Amino acid sequence: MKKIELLAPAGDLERLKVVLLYGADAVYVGGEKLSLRANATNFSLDELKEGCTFAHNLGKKVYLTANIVFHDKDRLGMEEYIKEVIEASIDAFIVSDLYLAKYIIDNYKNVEVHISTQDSITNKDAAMFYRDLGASRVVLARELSKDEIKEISSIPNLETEVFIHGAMCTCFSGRCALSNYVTNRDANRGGCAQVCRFAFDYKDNDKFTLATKDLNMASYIKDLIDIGVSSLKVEGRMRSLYYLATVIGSYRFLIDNIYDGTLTDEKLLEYEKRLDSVANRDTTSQYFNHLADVTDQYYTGRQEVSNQEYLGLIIGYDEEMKSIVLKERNYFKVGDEVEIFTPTGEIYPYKIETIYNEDNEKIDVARHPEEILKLPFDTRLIPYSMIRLIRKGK
Amino acid sequence: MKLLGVIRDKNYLEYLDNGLDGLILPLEKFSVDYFKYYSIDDIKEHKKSTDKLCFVVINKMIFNNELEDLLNVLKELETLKVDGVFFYDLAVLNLVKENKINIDLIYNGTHMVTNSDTINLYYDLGVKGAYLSNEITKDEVLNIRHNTKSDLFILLLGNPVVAMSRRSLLTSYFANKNKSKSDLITIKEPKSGQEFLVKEDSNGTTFFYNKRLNLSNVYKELVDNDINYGIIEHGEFSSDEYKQLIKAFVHFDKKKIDELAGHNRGFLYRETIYKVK
Repeated sequence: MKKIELLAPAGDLERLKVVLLYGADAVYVGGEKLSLRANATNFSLDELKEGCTFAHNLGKKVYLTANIVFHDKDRLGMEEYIKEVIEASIDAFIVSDLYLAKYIIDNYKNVEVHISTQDSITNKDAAMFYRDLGASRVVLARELSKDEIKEISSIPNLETEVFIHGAMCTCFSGRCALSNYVTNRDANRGGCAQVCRFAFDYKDNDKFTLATKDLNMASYIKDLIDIGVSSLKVEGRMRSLYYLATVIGSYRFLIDNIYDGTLTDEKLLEYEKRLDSVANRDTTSQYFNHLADVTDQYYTGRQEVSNQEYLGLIIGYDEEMKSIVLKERNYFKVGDEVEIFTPTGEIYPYKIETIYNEDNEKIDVARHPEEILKLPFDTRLIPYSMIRLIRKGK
Repeated sequence: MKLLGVIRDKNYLEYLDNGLDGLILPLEKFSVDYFKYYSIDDIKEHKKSTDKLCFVVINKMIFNNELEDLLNVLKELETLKVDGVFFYDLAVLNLVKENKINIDLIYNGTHMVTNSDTINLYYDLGVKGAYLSNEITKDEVLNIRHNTKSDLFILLLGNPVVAMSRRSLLTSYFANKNKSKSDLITIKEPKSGQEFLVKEDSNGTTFFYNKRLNLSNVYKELVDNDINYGIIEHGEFSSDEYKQLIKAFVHFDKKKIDELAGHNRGFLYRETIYKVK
């Protein structure tokens, strides 16, 4: 039986490398056209080629989102663009428009077509329609229960992909134009202004909100494996490196521990805590066990909390100083207790006793994001290792 | 252009007598985004009482446990010889094709009916018509017309559907506030000033734009360009006002229509953007 795929988002080349190194089996990215995150730093053709080479060298895959609901004028240059990105060696397109899906299926046999969650596939017949059209995979609607996912996943010759982590739309994907009406930004062409997170005026000076909590399926990964899902998808092409490293790393270990039979309740709790530590909203399993209800929503205008535990990205090693070199992201100081963690899963508890700046001068406090700093450490670490705060010193 | 009504009361024969060419009937349990729904028995009665056009809406997201009932319903509608079925979920198209059901289908993808190629592909797949999205410009409407053989349907007058959720958002909201529940409320986005009607039923929650769309200013142009069907919603109008509106479209009287329905032209001249950098 094929091992379930862990599919990660990447808004740029650096994120692509990070998520693949931290354990994703495949990555989905947006190109310069047709992507539903028009305002993300999408991939140029050269970046796409480099990303595909990087992924393929690791035996991993790259999927390109081409999931806008296009208007006639967006069609200009579409065929050339499709041809170019296929030549860049992408492994699959994620498409929502039926015409675009059929065009790719009919004209290119060496690339897969996955049907986007934008099409909100909620039943077997819709899924079979896409399979018969030639799609190899459907990304299911986020509104489905375990039993509903199971039934669709039993369809022969069709893979299913489900979201396991990240932000949720309040409405059915594709069935929401709130952004169009409030901001004139087209939700279905990549301009979504996330109006469902706004607070609306209601009578008696009350506020009406419709924002949802985020999705977190860490406790149900085994169920998803058992019911025959092919791919587990994490949301968030615009998320930070630290968030992606933590989330993808956690799910990688969860999946591997489930397959090798070593997942204990303690380990699961540890991974859940780690996922919670990078979350900036509350999380639930949404529709998996029951219809989303009062507990899955927010009722205040602001839902996000900022996360400042990510202290820095390790970018090298200074042999002379026997120190790791890092680029600072958040304030830290001598006395803080931290963890250094690597893409391959090593975790080193560490108490900060000395900080050097780029000129090898001792400092007590790191207060300038992007500053290059050094911390004494005996071991050279692999690229994209990171440091997170565990406990603040006095 | 044939004029189709979406009504909220029982006076359909009067509206048909006043000039509507037919009605659109949202099917109970299988449609969303409307204020009045009809059972199969209602549709049977309706068909008995008039030979004018009768279209049925099946536009909800379909779930696995509804597929069997959906197939039965489609077979009944075939027997009733309705003039067409508006659909959103591709399960409808799949069931119609797999079971060789003889029904004309109209693609009703709400915000996703925005380009000629996709409408043409549906046409090639046997889908006879397409209900255009309200969020496209007049030029885009005309461009689609010139590039497709499909029958085109357009909302001439009514409150556009803005969003649909499976969530019971009003139930949750009022439960959280510990207040008695309402199934229909009006909310306002404070910065833009845009208002929305929020309506909940057993299928979830729908958001409607609270400014009525009125395409009277391009009606003649749409007619001249062979847009096949125009839809006029009853909405909050009284029975008399609605009859006046129907007459004003039939004997085209823009001033009267605007007097009753306002001047919101929607996205006719306002192209949405999606790159904000």
